[in-house]
Amino acid sequence: MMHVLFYPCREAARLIDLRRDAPLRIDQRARLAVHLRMCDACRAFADQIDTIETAFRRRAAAGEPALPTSPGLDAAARERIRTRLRGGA
Amino acid sequence: MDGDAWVDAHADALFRYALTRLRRREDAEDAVQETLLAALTAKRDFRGDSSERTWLIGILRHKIVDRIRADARTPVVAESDEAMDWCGETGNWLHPPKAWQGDPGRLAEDGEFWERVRACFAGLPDRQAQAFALRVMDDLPADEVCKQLDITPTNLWVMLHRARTRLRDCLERTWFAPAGGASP
Repeated sequence: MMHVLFYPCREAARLIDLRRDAPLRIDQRARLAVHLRMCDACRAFADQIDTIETAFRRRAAAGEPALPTSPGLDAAARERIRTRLRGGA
Repeated sequence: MDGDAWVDAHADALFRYALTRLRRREDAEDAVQETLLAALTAKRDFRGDSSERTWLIGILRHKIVDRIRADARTPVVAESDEAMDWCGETGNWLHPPKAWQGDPGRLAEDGEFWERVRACFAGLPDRQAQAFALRVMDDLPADEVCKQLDITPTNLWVMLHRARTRLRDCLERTWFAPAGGASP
């Protein structure tokens, strides 16, 4: 039980993120589950990462660009590209 | 469709897509130009089974990845590890996260929230931002992101963990703090 109690949040947070990108080993899963049951802060962390990623996914599903961005190309750049496309220098 | 018409119809959208991922205006402008030039050359390959915009974004993605890879070969000063400052020497939280208030389902439609996300994202180091953009914004599988960025899975996991930790921390400070809900 001692190793579980001393399992630092740093490692739990790493696994909370890692499981989004790769399957955890069974021992990692078990230790993380125990940690999460005992640790309010890491549970909140996991929920927050979830909240952020869910928000990105909903935004993508709604057809919005990933982030609000500045106005588009400025006039000079637009003209430069036009000229290049016409075969100019 | 000719070059002028493409610039009118698509250049702004392509530019915004590139700017989010490359983050420097000049780089994004160059990527748009390269994309439209390549599209002009390859016009006959466009089969109309996707929209023209989708086809152009597909080309743009390749151009962006080429740039990111070229950048990655330039040695960079090691990114600071301050993202990991949240845990002290014991490896536990210095400021334990507290549950965020408010309805997470509504965030996606909240324009002010996304302005904060943009500001927080702008604060990420380049490599972390690129990894996060491909994995989370573009929702590509992790192995595909590794291939595109030409990095190992371990490398990717470290970058994503730092990016997520930093974004979370920034959003907590600038959006959810102190008592959650809207900004002060």
